[in-house]
Amino acid sequence: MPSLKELNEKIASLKNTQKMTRTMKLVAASKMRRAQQAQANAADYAEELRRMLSGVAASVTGLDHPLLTPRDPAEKVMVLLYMSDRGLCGGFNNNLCRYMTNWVAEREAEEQAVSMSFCGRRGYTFFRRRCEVVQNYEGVADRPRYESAAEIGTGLMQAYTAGATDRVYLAYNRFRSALSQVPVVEQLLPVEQPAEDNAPADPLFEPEVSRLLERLLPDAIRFRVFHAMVENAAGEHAARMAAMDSATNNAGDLIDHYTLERNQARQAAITTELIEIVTGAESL
Amino acid sequence: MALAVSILTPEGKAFEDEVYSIIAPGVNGSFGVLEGHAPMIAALATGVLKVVSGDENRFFVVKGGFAEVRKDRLVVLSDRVEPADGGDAAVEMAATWMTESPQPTPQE
Repeated sequence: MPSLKELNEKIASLKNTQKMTRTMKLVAASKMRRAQQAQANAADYAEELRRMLSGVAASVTGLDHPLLTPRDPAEKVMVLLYMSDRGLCGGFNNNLCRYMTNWVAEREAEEQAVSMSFCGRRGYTFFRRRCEVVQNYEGVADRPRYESAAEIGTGLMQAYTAGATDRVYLAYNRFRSALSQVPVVEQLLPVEQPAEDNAPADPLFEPEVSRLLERLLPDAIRFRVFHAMVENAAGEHAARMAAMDSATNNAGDLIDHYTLERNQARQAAITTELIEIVTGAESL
Repeated sequence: MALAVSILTPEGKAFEDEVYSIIAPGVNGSFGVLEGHAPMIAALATGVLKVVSGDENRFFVVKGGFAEVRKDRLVVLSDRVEPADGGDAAVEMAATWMTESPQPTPQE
């Protein structure tokens, strides 16, 4: 049985830990609210953009654009991997790491050379020795800004048109709810043919439709890079909040357990002391 | 007063309301949209977007983007949108945006 002093120290340190995890939880919760709002905004934008794209695609026959033309067979593929900059967010990064390790192995089995770029330090530290690293974008994961996403997107398009890679994928955790994030890999380039809505009216286009598409496509690609970034950020903060919440609860359980043990130890000490006094008095 | 306008950026909603008309900076020159406009998709240049509702005018500066009209609803999607106080301030702001970063020309 540990001594009273040891138990008291343990309880004090657990209380400190609990204070920290509780604070981190609160911080993550407020960041999550903001990130979730950003995610909802981006989802609205995505919906409008998708409609616009399919409206344009419905009016163009035989789409022909370098960003739309697949190159088969693909020999070099590139992945932009989104993860958090910091840890302490449960299985958020590990799940995606595991998922991506399998995914990369599958591609390599098909004899495709896989290279990677990263948004978020965790992905970079995990994969830097396993894969060819193209670029690590730092400081963009926590609070996504469209400007930085646009820069990354432009870079990816340049790499694709220059022939440095035959396909570009985005890998990230999709934010389904505060409690569930799902790893996904999506093809960014070449752009898969936009689904044609059965648009009833034939809209007017300005400028003419093929020129319009030329403007719309790069914008849509840059936006998808941003959208994934936002999903990733919302997921990160949600995962951290959940992880810190359970850490706080676990610390609370341990504190209860050790407090009980300490009280028992204290009681035992008092009892022994009493017995000593009583026997001492009797012997007089 | 029945043209529903929403101006969206990737980072959030810049404006949403029912208005009388808007005047948008298209790539081939400004154009106005009133209620009952034919469906249209247009690319925008960097410039001033004017929203007219009643006797009140609002001005925004947009950095490129697109506008879509369908069924008395107009959606503007743009990378960056800022409200400006007054038409002159908007024109000034648009001019500085244009010198900051010229519109990337689409690949031919």
